[in-house]
Amino acid sequence: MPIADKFSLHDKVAIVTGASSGLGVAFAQALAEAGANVVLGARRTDGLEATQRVVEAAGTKALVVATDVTFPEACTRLAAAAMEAFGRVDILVNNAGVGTAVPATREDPAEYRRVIDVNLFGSFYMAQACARVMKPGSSIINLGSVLGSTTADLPQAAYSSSKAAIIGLTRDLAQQWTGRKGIRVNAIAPGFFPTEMTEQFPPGYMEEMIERRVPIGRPGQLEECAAAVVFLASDAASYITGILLPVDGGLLTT
Amino acid sequence: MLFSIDGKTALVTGGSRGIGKMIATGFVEAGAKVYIAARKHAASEETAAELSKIGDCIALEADLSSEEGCRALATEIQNREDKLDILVNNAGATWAVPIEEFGDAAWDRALNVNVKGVFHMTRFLLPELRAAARPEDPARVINIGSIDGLRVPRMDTYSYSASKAAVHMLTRHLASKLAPDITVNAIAPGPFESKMMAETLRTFGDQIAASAPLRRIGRPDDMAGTAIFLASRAGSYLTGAVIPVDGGISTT
Repeated sequence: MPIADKFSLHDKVAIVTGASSGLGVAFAQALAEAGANVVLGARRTDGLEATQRVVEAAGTKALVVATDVTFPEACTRLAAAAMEAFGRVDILVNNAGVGTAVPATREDPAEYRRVIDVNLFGSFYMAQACARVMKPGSSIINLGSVLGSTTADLPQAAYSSSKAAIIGLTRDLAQQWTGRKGIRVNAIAPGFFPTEMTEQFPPGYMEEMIERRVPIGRPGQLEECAAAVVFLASDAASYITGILLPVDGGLLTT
Repeated sequence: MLFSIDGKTALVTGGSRGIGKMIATGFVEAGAKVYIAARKHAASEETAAELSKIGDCIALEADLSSEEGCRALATEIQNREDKLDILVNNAGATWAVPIEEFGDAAWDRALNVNVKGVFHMTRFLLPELRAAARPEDPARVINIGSIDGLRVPRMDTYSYSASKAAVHMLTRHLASKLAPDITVNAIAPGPFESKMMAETLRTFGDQIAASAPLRRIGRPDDMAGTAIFLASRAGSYLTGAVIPVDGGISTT
């Protein structure tokens, strides 16, 4: 096989959660451009229909399934819908995520729990549902964050702890499933990418962070983050499992 | 063309065999012009002749165990090219003797080639790397570390494991210093078919393959795939990353 073909996802089937906005749309688009059919999950179906058009414009098929990943049965339904439509699930991108930026002494326990529910339990329920139907050669990509390994001046106890948990989850699922099921499990750790979440940052915060903490000196472009996902999903990464891949412009060196 | 390196110019040190050859082969197949440097010129020539059948590959001779040797190789490149898009610091040395006999000879070569060689090659080629850098398409340095620099090996290879941990830290330090013109990342390979690994694989090959979560040793395309990712548009926002390509061994 020519080396360039190792990066192709032609005829594969990918599930992307949180696919109605931000990185989720970029992941769906990049997976489709690499040749994969994409199953789109999110709570907001209006956003999903826009993503569906993005996937179809790239020339592959899209399926929209309204999904709240905090319910295990919803995750099972999403995987089942993918199997029914396409007969296989090769790739899962666990992108659904939420965050808060509240000082810890004022943090509402219910809000903290909500972050863990979506980011950690949601990722686990989706991985569980997909691993039950995935064949050897499949790939799961979890969304960690640089905030799983460092801090960045904002109060992020809930988000950071959920993303640190993703690192442990990724390693353990890799250990459990790579040998027994042939499923590779990896995580990426994005740095600063312009999304709905970063739009909520205080004025000037992002510019200051880029200046002080990002050696490459600019925020990432969404397709640069998506490129890492396509790589980990592809056969070019077939000897990679259990890793955390930072896509952060060097933030973790600071 | 997210994963394209077509038309780029690369230098792969230690490119005549093992992991260096795997990367050089992938680069040539992907359309890059590739210089390979090795201590044994005959080996370099032989690999370059083989790779020239599929693309553009040029053999150079180099001994990277001294600063002068590194300077000489950099000069060879500078005489031929105004810019260098990709530098793969792969040349490496190992040494295994029982701890009681592990003297300076066992330390010097590993540290000279594996750590100082990586640093000097990068340093001497900075002008050509910077000349290749464009906004959002920086020049790339890819250092070859090892899982032996991430977790403790079983063999008596004290200078090797320490040197590879040093390569990982040097990667992060250089990354923070050389951005945004040049990205610096490391690949930390697990078991691959190389001359350095040949004896170990002959003795423990089955055991090592079985102990990897992926239940096999690495294949040439596994190494080339990660190097191409890092060298292409797809890898342009990564710097300071240490990427294990080890079948999951470093998770165990």
